Amino acid sequence: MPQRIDIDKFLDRHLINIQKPGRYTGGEYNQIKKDWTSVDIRIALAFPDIYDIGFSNLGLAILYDAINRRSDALAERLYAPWPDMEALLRDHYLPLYSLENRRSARAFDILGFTIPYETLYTNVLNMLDLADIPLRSNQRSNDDPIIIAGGHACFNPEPMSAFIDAFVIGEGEEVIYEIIDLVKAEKSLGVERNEIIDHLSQIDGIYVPKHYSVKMDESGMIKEIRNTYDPEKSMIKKRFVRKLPNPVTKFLVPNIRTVQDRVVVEIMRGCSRGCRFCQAGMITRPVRERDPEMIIQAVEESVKSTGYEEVSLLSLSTSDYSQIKPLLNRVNALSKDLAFEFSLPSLRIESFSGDLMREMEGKRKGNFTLAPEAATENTRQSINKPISDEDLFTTVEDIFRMGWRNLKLYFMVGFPGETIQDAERIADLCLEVNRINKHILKGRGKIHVSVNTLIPKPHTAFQWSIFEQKDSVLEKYQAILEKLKRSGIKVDWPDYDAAFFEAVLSRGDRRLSDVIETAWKLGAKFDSWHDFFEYPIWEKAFQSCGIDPGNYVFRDRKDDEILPWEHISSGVIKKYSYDEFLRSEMLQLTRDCRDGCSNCGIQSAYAIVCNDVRTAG
Amino acid sequence: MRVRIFYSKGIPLKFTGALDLQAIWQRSLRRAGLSVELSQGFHPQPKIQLPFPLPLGFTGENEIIDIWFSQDFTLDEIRKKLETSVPDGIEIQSLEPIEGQKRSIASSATFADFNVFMDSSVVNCSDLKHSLDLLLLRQSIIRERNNKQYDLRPLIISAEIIDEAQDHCHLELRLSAHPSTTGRPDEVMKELGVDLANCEIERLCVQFDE
Repeated sequence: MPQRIDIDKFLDRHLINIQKPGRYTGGEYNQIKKDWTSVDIRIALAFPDIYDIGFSNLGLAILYDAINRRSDALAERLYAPWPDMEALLRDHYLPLYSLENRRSARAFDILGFTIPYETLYTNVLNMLDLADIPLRSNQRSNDDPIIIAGGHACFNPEPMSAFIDAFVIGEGEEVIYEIIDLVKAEKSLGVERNEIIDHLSQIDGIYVPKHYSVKMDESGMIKEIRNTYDPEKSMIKKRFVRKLPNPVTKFLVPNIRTVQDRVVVEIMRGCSRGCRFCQAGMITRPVRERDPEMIIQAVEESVKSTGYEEVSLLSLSTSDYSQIKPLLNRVNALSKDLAFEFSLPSLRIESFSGDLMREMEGKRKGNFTLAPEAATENTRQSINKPISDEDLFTTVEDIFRMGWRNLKLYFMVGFPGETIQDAERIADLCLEVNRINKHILKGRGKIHVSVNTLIPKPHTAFQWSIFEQKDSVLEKYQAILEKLKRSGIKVDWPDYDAAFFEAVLSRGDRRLSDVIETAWKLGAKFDSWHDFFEYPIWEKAFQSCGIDPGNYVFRDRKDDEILPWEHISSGVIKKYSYDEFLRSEMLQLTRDCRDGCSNCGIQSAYAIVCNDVRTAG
Repeated sequence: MRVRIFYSKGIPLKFTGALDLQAIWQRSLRRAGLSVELSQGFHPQPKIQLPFPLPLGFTGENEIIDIWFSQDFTLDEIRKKLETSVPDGIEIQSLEPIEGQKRSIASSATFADFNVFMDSSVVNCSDLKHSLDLLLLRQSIIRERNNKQYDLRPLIISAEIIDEAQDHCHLELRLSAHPSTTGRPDEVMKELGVDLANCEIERLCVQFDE
C-alpha cells in the first residue's frame, strides 16, 4: 500500500485533470487534523455520496465534533468520489482515503457510515470496495476496520445486514462514546475483531445482524426472527439522548462551493404531530426542545467561527417550537448585528401565524414552502394532518401579502383509498391558490407544485399499506397535469420507478443484500442521482436473485405478519401504529402529543414523561 | 479605507478556483470581524476585489486583493486578525493603503511571470529545451480555447529554461496579461506537449500600470 507521502504527491499532480478537485483535498477552515499516532482509536466517518452533498450533513458534523473532543480518539472524513476520481484511484491502485491525514479507509479502527436514505446503499458498497475492504461482514479479517452504520435508513437495517458489522439504531451522540470505550478497552487486551463485534451488541441500541436468524417460508413470509447469540434479547431499542447536548458551533467551512454551506442549529428534535405517513416523526420521538438561550449562543458562536452568511434553524416542525416567537425576535436582532440571513424550514400552515411572519419582515423573501400533502380535508384527516382549506388559503394570502413571490406546495398521491377524483383536487386547490396569486399579486407570484408518491415507510401507520401501482399513479399525474395546463403553475413529478425502488429498499428484508450486491456488480451507484439511476440494472438484479420486488410493496399485510424490521423498536409500539392505521381508514384524528398522550408507547418504553423531556434541554 | 493585501496562495488551496477564493476571502474577513463596505444594488456584496484571477491548479506568490474596509483599522490590526482567520494555503505577505485612487487595477495588467517546475524523470529537459527553441521561432501558434481560435505566439514575451537540475527542470515564462490578450502557461505547456499532471505552475507576480 502506498505511503501517505505518495498520496499527497499523487494528488498534487493528478487532481488537475479531475472535475472539482477541491472535493478531494480537505484542509477546510475548522478542520481537525490530529497526529495519527497520538490517539488510541481512529474513526473514519463516511458519507456515501459526493463531498458537495455530504459536507453539510448535520449528523456527521455532530459525530466529528463529539469524537474529536476526546483526546484518545480521532475522527476523519470520507466521501464517495465522483466517477472520474474513482477511475483515477482504481487506475493507480490507490485506496479511498480520509481527507484529514489522507489515510486509507482500511487503516482506521472503525469505519462508520451515515445513511440517511436508502438510495445510498450501492455507494456504501462501492466505498468499501474502493477501500479494499471485503463487502460482506463474514468475509472480513482481523485487519479490517469494524464497519458501523447509522442514520434514519437504518431503522430497517435488514437490506444492508450482510455488509454492516453493527448498526446504531437511533441517535449517536452518547452511544458513540460507549463504542469508543469498548473498542479501545478490548483492543488493548488484544481481543479479536469478531469478538469485539459480538460485545458491541451489549451496548443498548446496537444491532449486530449476524446474531439474528430469520426464518422464511417459500413465499418470503417471515416466520421467525430470533437472536441466536443472546436469546434473552429479542428487540433492539433505539437510542435517544434525554437532553440535547450543546450544538456544534465550529462547523467546517469548505474551500469550494457545496450544497447548503451554512450554519445549521437544531432547535428541536422530534415532532408531536403524528402524521401517519411520516417516518421521521415516529422514529425521533420524544420531542426535545433546545433552550432558546443555548440556541442564540450557538448561532452567535457559529457565525463568528465560520464566517457563514446564512443560518438555518432546523427541526421537523419549526413553528411548533414553544418559544418560536421570542427566539425569532432575538435571532432577528442578532442577524442585523452579525449580518447574516436566516431561514426557517418546515413551517406548519396551522401554526405559522401572520404574527410569526411579521418577525421575518424586512428579510429577503425567497421561497416559501407549504406542505398540505393532500388536497381534500378528508384525506388530510386520514393522514392525521388536519388542515382546513380555509386555513390554507388564509396562510397563502398572508404569504403573498407579506411579500413572498415564490410559493412551493408539496403534495402526495397514493394514500390508501384515494381516487382519481381525490388526486384531481390537487389541481383544483392549486388553481385556487393561483386565484389568490392573481388577486393579491396580480399574478406575479410563481407557484411550484411538487407531487410525490407516498412511500409506506417502516415504523409508520402506513407500513401496512401498499405502494400504488404505476398505471394508476400515472393516470393521476396526467389528470393533474391536464387541469393545470396553461395555468402557469409548474408541476414536478418524480420518476415512478425511482419511487418504487425507494419503497422496495426501505421495506425490504435480508434477501435484499444479495440484490444490492448484484446490482452494484452490474454497475449501480449514485442511485439517488436521476442521471445515474438505471432501473433496468435493478430489474436484472432482482431477477437473477429470484426475488419479486413487488412482493415488498404491492401486498396487503395482516396485523400479525412479522415485518422485516420487527426486532427494531423506535419505542412506538406496534399496537399503536396499527390502531393508527385503522383510525386512518375511519378518518379519525389522533391528537397532538401536547394536547394529551395517546399512548404510543415511548413513555413506558423508556420510563419518561414526554412533557418533562420536552423542555429539559 | 482601501487596502491592498499581497498574499500567497499555496498548495492547500491549489485546487480552489477564483470564484471560490472570493467566498473564502469574504468569510475570512467576517471571521476576522473586519467590517467591509457593501456594494450598491439589490444584493449588496462586500466590496473586495481580486483583480487578477488565478486559474485552478496554480499556486501564486504576490497575489493581490483590494479591500474596502468600512472602518479605519491599522495595517497591523488587519494583518493580525487575518492571519488567524484565513484558511491553510493563504499567507499574508504585505499590506499597503491605497489612497486617492478610485479605479480598479483589473484592466491595467501588462504581463505576468510564471515558474513551471517539471519532474525530470518524466520530462526530458534537453528535449524540452529543443521544443521550446522551435516554438519561439514560429511566427504564430494558432490554438483553440473555449471554441475560439487565437494566436498564442504574441502572448509569449519570454520563455527560458533556466535550470536543468538532476531531479527537475525549471521553465520561466513571461506572458502577456492584458485583459483581452492574456497568455496562459498551461496553454504553453500543452503546445510543448507536456502533460499538466507533470507540471507545477506558480505565478510569481502580475505587473500592472498604476
